Amino acid sequence: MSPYTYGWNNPIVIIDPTGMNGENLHYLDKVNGDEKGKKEKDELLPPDDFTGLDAGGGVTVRAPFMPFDFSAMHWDNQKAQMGWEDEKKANEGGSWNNSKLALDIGGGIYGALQTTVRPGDQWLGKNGKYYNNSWWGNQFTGSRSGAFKAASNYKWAGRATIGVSALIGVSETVNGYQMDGGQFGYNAQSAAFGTTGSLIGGWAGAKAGAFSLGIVGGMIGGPPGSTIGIVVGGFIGGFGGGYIGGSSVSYFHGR
Amino acid sequence: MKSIENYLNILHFCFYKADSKLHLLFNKVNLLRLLLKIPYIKKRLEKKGITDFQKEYDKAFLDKNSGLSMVFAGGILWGIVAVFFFTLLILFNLIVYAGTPIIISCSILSGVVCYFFVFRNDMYIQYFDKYEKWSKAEKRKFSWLTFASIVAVFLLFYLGLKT
Repeated sequence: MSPYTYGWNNPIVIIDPTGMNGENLHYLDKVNGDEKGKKEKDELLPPDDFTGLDAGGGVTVRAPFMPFDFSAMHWDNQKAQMGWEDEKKANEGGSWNNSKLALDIGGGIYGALQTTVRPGDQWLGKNGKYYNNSWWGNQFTGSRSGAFKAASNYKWAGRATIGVSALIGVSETVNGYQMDGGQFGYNAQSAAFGTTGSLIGGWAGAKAGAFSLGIVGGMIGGPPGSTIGIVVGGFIGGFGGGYIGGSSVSYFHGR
Repeated sequence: MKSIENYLNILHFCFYKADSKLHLLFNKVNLLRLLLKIPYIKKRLEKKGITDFQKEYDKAFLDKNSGLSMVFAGGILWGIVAVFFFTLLILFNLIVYAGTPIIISCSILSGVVCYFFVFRNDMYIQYFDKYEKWSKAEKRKFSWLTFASIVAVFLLFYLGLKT
């Protein structure tokens, strides 16, 4: 067994006496109730003077890792009949990072496309030119209603990606809270501040990007500049904001 | 049902207004505006038919039909409602860990609620027209209501984690 995969990379909360599967002490509390859970927990823990390795040849990492206050593990709800798979996911940490990043980028793209197709009182024809909302369109420009429909779809997609991205941030905080053993510790704070930073950074980045590249686009002669600006600015701002949020927590915790 | 519709539209309107105010604040501190003072850029934009770039820029964000602020306000409303459902699950001890099915379920439920009460056929625009006529006292009252709602959701979320 690789020491790097020990306890699903969470040796604070999970122990693995057999080397075959991780056991969450906290989970035992929840499933069995405090007393029974404590008993099983005591049986699973290595003795205080345990320092050795497995005699079977394989390295089983179960060093005395007990500088942790189990009294803080008060998530003892009888509700916890959750599956082991869910728990593993909670401990994998950052498994949604890519999804979140993709959603943030998607939010920028859809929002920018929506503004491009229907900027204010105009709409974008199939020929790449803008027309006033009072005109219906023709066979060369495509229909106005078609442009409105496309803008509406982009608006929906933009809303959805922002909403789901925010929910993922909250979910990561919950899982971080669980990984911290029922405390609002490093993982939970990192997720919460990273998400907040990402939202604020993405917002500000989109504005700055739309302004600067919008000017470039305007000088060249078209709106793609601002569209690209929103996407690029939103991405850089979101990524930077998330990084700053997470790094601030790391700095605060001295990591 | 009507009161839920009204309440969600108030939240949506206040999110939009907050975003608009922040946009105007951003404009004040946006150093990139200095670019528009450069004669070459100014002339080039005018040549391409953009006489007031700032106005075009504001319109792209603040337009009630298709502005980016509307997307952002709608997304935040979607997220807040989704977090509310998610919080209920935690508060009533139905889940401990946030798995993918839970996220998808809460997101879809939130989307359905927002669709029927706010986004359907852009019905929020009628509410916006109505809310624009609020007095200053009403605006303040509903701004506080929105703020309190957000605080309440996150307070419940925190309590759900702790219990």
